[in-house]
Amino acid sequence: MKKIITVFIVFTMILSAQVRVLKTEIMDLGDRTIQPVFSADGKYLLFASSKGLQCYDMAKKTSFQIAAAGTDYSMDIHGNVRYRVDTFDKGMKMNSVYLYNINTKSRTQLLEKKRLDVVPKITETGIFYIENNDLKNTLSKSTTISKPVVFSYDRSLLLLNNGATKKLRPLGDDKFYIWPSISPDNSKMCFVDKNDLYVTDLNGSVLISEREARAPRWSPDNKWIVFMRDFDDGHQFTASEIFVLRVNDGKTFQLTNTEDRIEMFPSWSPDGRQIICEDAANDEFILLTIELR
Amino acid sequence: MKRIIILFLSIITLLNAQDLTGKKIYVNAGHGGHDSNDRPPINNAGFWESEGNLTRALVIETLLKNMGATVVMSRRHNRASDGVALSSLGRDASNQNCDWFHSTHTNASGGNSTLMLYSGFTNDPIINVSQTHFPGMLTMSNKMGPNIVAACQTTHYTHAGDYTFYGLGHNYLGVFRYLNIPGTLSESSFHDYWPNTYRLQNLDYRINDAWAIALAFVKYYDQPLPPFGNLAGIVRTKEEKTNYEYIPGTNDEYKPIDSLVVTLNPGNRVYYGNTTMYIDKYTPQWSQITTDSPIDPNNWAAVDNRYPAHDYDYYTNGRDNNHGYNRNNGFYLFDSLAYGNYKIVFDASGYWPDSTEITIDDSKFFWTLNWFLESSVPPFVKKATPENHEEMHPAWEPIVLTFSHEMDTSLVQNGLSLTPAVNLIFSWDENHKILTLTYVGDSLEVETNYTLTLDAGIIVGNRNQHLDGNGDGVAGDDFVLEFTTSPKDIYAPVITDYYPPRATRYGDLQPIISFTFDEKIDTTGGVRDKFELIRTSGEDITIPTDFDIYVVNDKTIVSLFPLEKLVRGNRYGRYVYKGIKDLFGNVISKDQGSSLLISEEIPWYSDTLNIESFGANSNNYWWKPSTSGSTINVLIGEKSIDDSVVNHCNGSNHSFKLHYKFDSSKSECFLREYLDTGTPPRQKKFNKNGILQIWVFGDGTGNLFRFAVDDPQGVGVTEVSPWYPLDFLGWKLIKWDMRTEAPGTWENVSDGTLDGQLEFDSFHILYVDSLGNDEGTLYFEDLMCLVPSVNAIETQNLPTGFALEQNYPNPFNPTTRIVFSVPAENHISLDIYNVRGEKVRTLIDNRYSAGQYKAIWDGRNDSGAPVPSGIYIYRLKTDVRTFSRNMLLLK
Repeated sequence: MKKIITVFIVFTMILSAQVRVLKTEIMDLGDRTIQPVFSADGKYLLFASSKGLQCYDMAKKTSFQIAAAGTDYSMDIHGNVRYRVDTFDKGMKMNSVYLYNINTKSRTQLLEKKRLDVVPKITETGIFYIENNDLKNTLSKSTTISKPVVFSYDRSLLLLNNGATKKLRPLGDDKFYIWPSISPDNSKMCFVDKNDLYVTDLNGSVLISEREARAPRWSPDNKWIVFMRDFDDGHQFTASEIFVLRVNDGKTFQLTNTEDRIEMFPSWSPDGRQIICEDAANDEFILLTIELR
Repeated sequence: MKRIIILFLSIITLLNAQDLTGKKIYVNAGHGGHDSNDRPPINNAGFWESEGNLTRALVIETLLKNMGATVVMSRRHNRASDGVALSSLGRDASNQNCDWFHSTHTNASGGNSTLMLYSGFTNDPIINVSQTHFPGMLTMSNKMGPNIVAACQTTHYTHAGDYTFYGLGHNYLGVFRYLNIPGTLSESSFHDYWPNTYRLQNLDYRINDAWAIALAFVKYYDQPLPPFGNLAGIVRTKEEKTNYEYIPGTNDEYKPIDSLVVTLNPGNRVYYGNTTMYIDKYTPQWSQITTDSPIDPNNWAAVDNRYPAHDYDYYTNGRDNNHGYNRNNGFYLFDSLAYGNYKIVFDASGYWPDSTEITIDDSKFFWTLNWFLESSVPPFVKKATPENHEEMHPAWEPIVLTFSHEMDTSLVQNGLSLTPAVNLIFSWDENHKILTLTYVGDSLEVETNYTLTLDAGIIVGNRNQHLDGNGDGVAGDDFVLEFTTSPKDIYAPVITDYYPPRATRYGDLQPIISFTFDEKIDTTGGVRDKFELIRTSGEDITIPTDFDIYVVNDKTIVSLFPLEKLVRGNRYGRYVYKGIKDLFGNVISKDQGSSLLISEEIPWYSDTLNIESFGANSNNYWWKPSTSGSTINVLIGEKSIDDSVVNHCNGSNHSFKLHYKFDSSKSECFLREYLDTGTPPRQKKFNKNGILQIWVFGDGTGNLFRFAVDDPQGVGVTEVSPWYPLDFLGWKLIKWDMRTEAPGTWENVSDGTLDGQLEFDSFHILYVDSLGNDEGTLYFEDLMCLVPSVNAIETQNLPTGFALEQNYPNPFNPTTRIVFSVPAENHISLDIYNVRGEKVRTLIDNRYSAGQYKAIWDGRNDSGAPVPSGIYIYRLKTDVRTFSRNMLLLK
């Protein structure tokens, strides 16, 4: 069992006049740790590990368990952790969604166990899900849906916007259309066809494309997208590095360049000044403090 | 046609009885496109894994859909762009809320086995993203694996979790890392295994494999199996062996028949070899497939745009339209057979038809019926020794004729003549195919022209066909063999080699002493008494030895096995006395001798770790060479426990025998003899402070040998010794002193350093192309690691004075460590005394350069016997002064 430990490796990597990595920290938070994300206040990290869904207190440098298992997790500024639990009834996958408050340690079920067409979209205002080809949500009828929601569904993008749903295949058939997300200003979306990253407007018109770019996430200020460029030999991951893409001109900047680490699944801090990612080679997290201009 | 349609519809109907409605299954056709992530045309035989996986996946899709399941495919084409990133695959399957992810592959290793992999630890599957323990993955593996073994005729099935299988303790397989649903990966068979490379080129073979995978889902979801069965088999001929690697003891030794026609009744179904019979039925998606061109335009493959999708002609029009390619697999399949009795007729051009009957019932789904056909060409002589017109055939060597068919032995005897006439002795092998002729007078005449004739008018094979003497396919020609015998041997045997070599200080206390003669010697008449080992230091003393004689490559090796340890610094004489003669009576007329000096510098060993003594059970510990994926271009790799060539020094009854034949047409041939994990020898741990050694009975090929050890610490996984040439005949001790000899390199596996606790991994044999000796037999005895009792300790600064430290631990039982320092080169002795002042053990007696050293005492005296509890004094004597300390052995 590995001890929870944070190792600081400090250096400044000047990538360009616009992008600098000010500090790199290695975080060893236990066994089989993957997919870290910041809480909305930036004080915590949520991640999965051999101990289930974990929360790391950045100030206390200690971890505690949120749930025995959970995915698609996020934490709002009130300490509410929303996460999905998958179970298998007679071999059939079922989804349910829970909320756990780290302050009150109370847990409530937000979505009862359902057989859904694709995994649900969990937002702070409610849960959107597709059941038997029917798009539904847990919002009260009086709640206005103010933000677009996009699903990867039926090898297409299913976009819910202004009360209407559109099925988009901007690149034609035979694509996955995975990792779709709407920009924070609700004006654009990005997704990965199979291997490549695309930024489009909400009608599906391609604005930017980037080869071999996956797991994209918008920066809080809309201006950047962080992504991983991972490589495999058909069996195992052989390398991966973290990049940022500047949305206004499509220019990319490489943030990591390591031979002994496989940096994957980057995620922004709420202030946009840090990026956390996992190192698939060493079961560690890497925290990058960056400066983007 | 109407009947066929009805049959097809009925099958679809029957499939619907296996109700997978509501289940959502993700099928991943592993790899994609003919790019770097594909596995290149295996064995240059035209098979690409990306194509095999795709077509198998398409059939799985067809079968699962027919059972009502929803199937999500990772790809339907075979272009480079279809090689989807593993991270995207996991995301796609998880996002779509599939119930199961299955990735279909080939290359399981294990000879030609089936391997099921899942995420997690072996026997403890874990969905990686959520870290959810999910035993169902093991359940699925245990249903799918045996199915594939039955459908694909693989040797056996194993399963493993990727955390365990790759030794990391966490995720290895990228396809599982970001998968949030249960998943399995089947490596159905070993595509690097030549016979299977060919079988995998038959789409119908892959169709049966797909059935095995699809029916695993039927079993997993507790649905009834279909009320019919699949009958498949491989048809071969025993008259011709394959010219590529095969697993010994299997039918893969024999050549498959390509131009196969198998008829099944009732139903009058006909299967044509070299064709794909079921492409329309199982892969209706075929017409939509697009591919990249294979890299090598000379290779063809199942999905190949040189045969466009609409060109069904190639796949369906029978045996005469195979575009000149032979698939070389002999595979046939009759799918979806209703229960009942069937008659099968096997036929092929150039073979006698044959038939059998089989009953298909509900006891199983996959039925196997392999068959042999007998060639219908007339019998002919496949090989003769001597060869026709050979001019130096040794007169005392037999004549050997190998026939293509079983022969009527009495008629061969009647129809064979040899001129000048000789009284011949006829010996046949059990199959009546190999005739060995020896001579009543022990030898032919020397320097004589002989003519051997087989009269085709008399000689017939087992089907009463007359001999085809000139091999033109038409019976009735006599076989004529002309040769000349060699001159008479007039020279006495000569010793060409001594082991241990002459004029060296030998570094082992119990060497096997060998003499190599340049020819066979007469082993009768008290030859044992002609060899003797005598200690010549001081008064002459005959050393008791055991004795053995070996004949290798027409040379004779005589070995003496000392039954006691020799003494450091002593000189010995190894004598060969006159009177030894060859098979022709040429006698050695003088006594011969050679001195052997046992080195004074042989270290005292604190520990002797017997890793593997190669006992009767050891055969189970070691893989067949072909089982290892590292073994390449090995045509024959047979291993066994042998009782004929053993090291008598230790009273052993067994050795490990390895017979190999490399494919010398290939640029690189490499054999890995792998020690299975979990076996007792694997539990014997050691480190870089030892000397790894083994007795090897060499074959004189000059090929290279090395050790490989697993080294979990550090970057490299497995480290290797330097290469040692197998340029000797008979026994030789091969040592890797890991303290001083730097490891070699094994590309992408080793890092060239020995880091931590080690365990034995394998032996390697590398073919030396320039020598051209592609076949050999080796025997191994006594794999062990010896730990010298003194090791240098790494220090930053050299000692400034002598020092003898207190032993640790103290009291001790039974071993303790003694550290001492030497400021400049000195002669050092370290002796152990009892309280009566009697010396019980000399640990060190040698020169040492400046440094700090540690010596280990194992509580034994110089004879190796344990000493009793009590106080002992250890005394370090240098060139300038002496130090003493006490220690307590407490048992």
